Amino acid sequence: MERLESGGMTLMEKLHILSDAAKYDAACTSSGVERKGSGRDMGSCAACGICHSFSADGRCISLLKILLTNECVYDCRYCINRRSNDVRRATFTPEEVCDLTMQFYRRNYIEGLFLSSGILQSPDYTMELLYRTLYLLRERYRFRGYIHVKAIPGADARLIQMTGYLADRMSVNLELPTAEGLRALAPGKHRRNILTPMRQIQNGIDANRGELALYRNAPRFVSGGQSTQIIVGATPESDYQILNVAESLYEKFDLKRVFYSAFIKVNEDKALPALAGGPPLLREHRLYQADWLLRFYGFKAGELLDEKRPFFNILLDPKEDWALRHLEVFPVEVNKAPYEQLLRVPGIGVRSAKRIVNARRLGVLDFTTLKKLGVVLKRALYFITCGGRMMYKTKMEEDYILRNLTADTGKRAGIATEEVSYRQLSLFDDNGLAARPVAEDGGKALLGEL
Amino acid sequence: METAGRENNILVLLCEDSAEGIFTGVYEAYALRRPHASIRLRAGAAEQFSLFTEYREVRPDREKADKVIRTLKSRFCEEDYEALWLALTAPVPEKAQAVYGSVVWGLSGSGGTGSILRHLTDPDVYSLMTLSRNASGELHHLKGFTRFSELRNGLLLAVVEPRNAILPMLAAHFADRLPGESFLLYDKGRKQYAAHPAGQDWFLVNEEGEEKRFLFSEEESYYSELFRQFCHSISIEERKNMVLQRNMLPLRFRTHMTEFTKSNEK
Repeated sequence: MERLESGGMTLMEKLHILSDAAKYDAACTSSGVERKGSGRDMGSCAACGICHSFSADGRCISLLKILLTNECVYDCRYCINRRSNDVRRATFTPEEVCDLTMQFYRRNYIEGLFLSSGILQSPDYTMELLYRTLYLLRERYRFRGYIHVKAIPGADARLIQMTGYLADRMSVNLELPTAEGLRALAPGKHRRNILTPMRQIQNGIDANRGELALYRNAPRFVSGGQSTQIIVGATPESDYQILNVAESLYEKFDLKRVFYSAFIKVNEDKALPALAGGPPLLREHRLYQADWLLRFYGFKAGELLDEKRPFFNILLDPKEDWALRHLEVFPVEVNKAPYEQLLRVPGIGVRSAKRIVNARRLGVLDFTTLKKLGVVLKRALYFITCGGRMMYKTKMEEDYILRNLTADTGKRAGIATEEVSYRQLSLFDDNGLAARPVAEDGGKALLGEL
Repeated sequence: METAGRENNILVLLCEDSAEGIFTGVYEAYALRRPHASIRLRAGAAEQFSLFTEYREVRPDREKADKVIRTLKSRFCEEDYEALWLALTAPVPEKAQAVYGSVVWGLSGSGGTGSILRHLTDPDVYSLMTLSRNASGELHHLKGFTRFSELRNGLLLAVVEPRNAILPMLAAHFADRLPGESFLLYDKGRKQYAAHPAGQDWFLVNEEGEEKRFLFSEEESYYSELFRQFCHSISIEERKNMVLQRNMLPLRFRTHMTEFTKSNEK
């Protein structure tokens, strides 16, 4: 069945163009909001988020991720939709977006909508289109599922405010980590313009918390929090700089997530790096690991890297790397060490640390029990004692431990080859003992437990 | 069980493989007033018999099971109570012992207050945790991986083949999410339907006789084709990683997923 829509382009063609153009945005989470069904209207939200499918690149498909339009007035060097590119352009009508969302949702294809957009005419005009689409979807189609929408930098504050009341998550992409990078690759965008709506959303969320405390039924503003995205590897910033930016975004802007996106060269442009080895996936992966350490493990960016060592170790994850440089605090006695200290041991994650703290109230822990609690002994054994004893006879020497940590397989050294599966970390990963999101499929996932 | 001793042989209670059957088994085990360590529970028939072991079948009894359920509901925290039910959906006979042992451990009070699931050093509690985690993982997967197709009469139909008997929990999730839709959720392996008429409560139906054939609506192929297009174009060629895709979305789920099938054949 072929249906012609406005502009002589079928909905199929539009979806092809506008989902293809949206794919470089990393964020696809549907987490952070718990909303039960209303018993009448379609849709609900689960706090842990639900992945509905996985594409051939192994990334999760949770939301219908599309651009409203790929027309754009900007000419950002790295972007496939830049003004000077000769690509097919398309624009959805708000009704088409609503229809797709509703029909996909009732078949359980998706968890909700992720709506982004190129800049059509002006930021205000585009933001208004986004608002109208969301308004239609929420009020006329009565959709209660998850909605993630982009706030357009430079758009009127009131438009962003009104849109925020209809969305579960809002994001403004920082794109490049520093102002210089932005100047070099995104003429027309200014860091100040990007940070303004970010601050506005933060203030809106704060104010909304107060309203909700007073009136339980006050309308909710961006209840899933806001996120942003940084492109890694398009400009010469170091990991240290990027991590510092992320840290200050978490602290000063109260962001829920910072996403890192390995730069993929879609345009031939002399201002862009060559990237012989393909997109810097390992770098992206290390940044995600470090990001996790910042948010859940009580690490500071300055502890993981510094001016003298501005890049992450290729062979070791950031936590192992930190531990090897701080052998003076190890070994840690598992039966006594405080929770914060357990978290710093490689091979012990958030969940296993909590389990240890609970289980040791009832008796002395030994290595067999630790294994049951989800500790990855292969990595932890160099850093812990149980009842004053280490698991095996090992040396407290940096070289010795490094050799052993990296020796088990060649795959760690050859990490950049295709055998390795990169994936976004999840809070629930811990050696297959995770309660919810993903069943570990054997030991294939190299990552997870830090 | 070392503590049982030779003069105190092990007694295995064989329960029917259902929540009612296993809870009745728990009731009978308590009613025997023997040391708990000398009793074991097993769901379904015994596959091989051991020496010095007595086997006894327990007939499911609604009233006794309800008594146990009432006790558990009042004495266990919500998390543990849910874990017990999830473990009962597992397709293994050992689940009966895991539930029984965990109930004994929980009611004895030896773990103090709080969730019993913290006491993973106890083998039965550990096994309960493993079983319930497995079931809840599959339930979570299917909340995402289930695909509905629209039939001629506007009804939605989805086919699933879960390892654990989690159809009721899955149906509850979709009834909450899609209150205005009439849908059928079919557990192919167990030949059981969960039916949800729009705006009403859902219920279970066992299929009898031949498997039914369904006719899909005209719109159906249009939207499923759109979704296939979407899944294809959202993937980034430079990052292609089929191993990762398989890790995250195991092949066994793909049989009934729109984006991995060519056309609507069910």
